[in-house]
Amino acid sequence: MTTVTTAVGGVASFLLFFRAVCSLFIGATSFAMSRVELLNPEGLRVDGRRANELRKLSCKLSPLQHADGSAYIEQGNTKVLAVVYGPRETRHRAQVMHDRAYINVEYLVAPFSAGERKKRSKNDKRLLELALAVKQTFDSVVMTTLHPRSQIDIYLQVLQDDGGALQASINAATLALVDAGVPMVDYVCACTGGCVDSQALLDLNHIEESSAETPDLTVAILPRSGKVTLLQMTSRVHSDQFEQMLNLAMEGCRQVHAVLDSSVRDSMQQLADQMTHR
Amino acid sequence: MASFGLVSQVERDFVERGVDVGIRADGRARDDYRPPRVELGLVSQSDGSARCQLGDGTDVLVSVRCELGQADPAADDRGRLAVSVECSPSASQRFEGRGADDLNTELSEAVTRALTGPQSGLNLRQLCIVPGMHCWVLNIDAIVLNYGGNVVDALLIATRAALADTRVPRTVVQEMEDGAMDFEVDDDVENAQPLEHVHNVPLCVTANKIGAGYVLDATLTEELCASARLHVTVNSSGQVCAAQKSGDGAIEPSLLMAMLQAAKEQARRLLEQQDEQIRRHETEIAAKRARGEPVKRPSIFV
Repeated sequence: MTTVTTAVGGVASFLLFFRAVCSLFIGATSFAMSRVELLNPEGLRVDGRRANELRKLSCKLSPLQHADGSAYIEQGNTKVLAVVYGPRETRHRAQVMHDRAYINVEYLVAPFSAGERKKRSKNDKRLLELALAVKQTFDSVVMTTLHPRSQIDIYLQVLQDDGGALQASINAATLALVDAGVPMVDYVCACTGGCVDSQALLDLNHIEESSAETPDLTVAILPRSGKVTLLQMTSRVHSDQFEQMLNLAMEGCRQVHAVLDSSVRDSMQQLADQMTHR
Repeated sequence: MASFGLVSQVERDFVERGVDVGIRADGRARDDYRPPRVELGLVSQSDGSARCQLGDGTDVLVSVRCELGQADPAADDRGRLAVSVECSPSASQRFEGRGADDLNTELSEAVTRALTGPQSGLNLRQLCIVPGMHCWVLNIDAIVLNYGGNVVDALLIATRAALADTRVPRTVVQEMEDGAMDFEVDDDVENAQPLEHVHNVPLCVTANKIGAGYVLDATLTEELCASARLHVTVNSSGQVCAAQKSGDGAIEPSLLMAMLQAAKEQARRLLEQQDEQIRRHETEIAAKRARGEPVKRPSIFV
């Protein structure tokens, strides 16, 4: 019989740790997880952030010209492309709603997006659930009554997933809808929160997200009214800590809002400049 | 690919007459190729990756991942390649749901054909770990993010670049006392090996027959007006590795030879450009490593 063993001595284990720290080598984390402390005594996390710090967030509006609206978002190593088509006539008669528009969401994950290569079918239950979560979030925010009998399509393509793919998808979808000129009540800004040793963490990466002892909370808010439109949590947490986590995550949402808003304003400014100079 | 969108009779006439007199809508001549923009190493969790853009339209992202697998009994001293191409609905609404299934199969097969078999030039023996038992499987996953015509060529350009960027983890095989073989995978990226003979991997150039003439590197509208197309796969020694005619029209033998010749000539230029780019990329990274600087990965869009 042959056995497959992984070199864990000296250099290799250091490298494994290093990779885990960079949270790039996600496949080995189940092994590395038990050794990596998520929050060290100095108050730093595995990727060197403080507990209440977001990852670097950068976004771009209309990376694709042919679609009605598109946006690309990078939150640390999580990268999502969102594309919006519509409002346009519904494709299937069953979806026609006489008083408002139908929002269709498709959530796709690249086979190479996570640490372990995995090809997901389009009927994967987990993906359908995520698509539904995004749909429900935007159903209440998009002014669907302005476009009766029509359909708005949102396609989300996760290119890299290093934790928080759902929050990145929601943020990207917001930008793509803004780019498409779809009327909305407000932005939808999403962020994740967690908890380690009764210390709340903001914007979990893959290692923190997949750790069994960290609860994983995704919140989306409407920043102007502060209302919560999406809330998902797994694992268990004491109710005192839940409030702390929720407050931190909502604070994160407001920071995300500032970034999204400035990128929308920049891109509109560029557009305005182009129109006035030509 | 023929069912991709509609084109009006007037537009078709415009394109066909343009090709007759050697003018194309974007100002190119019939043999001109949109300069491919290729970036290497974008996907951090892959063993190799590349992206190729042609003009403002076509945009493909290819990732190569090494996975441990069982050796194929028919070729037990070799590793394997597994290609999968996915057209994302970001490229076109037609790809929503199951809409892209046929095209995905067609494109996956086109890339597989160019990379497997003796013409691929890759040394698959390098991927064998324990003969008859374990080997590396190179998973080549491509995503078509934007569809602006000539996707097969773009896929092969990106795949060839991604293979050049690929590093296969080193394995150490030991023989146990009972004669069984045991191996260890070295996780150190510094020890990972590049694929051998990547420069032999061929590229594909597609010639589209429009009216009585042909164009190279067709845009989406031109593809819709084409009655037939010829995919020519050429390697760096100038040998034609594969040729495939598709589409419902017929091609006259004299035009066929002209298309083949033009495609071959273009492939030579593309291969030269790409080899030069890969060399530059590698020396740049080696220089950065030597200076101890971090090697930053290019961002996908920002």
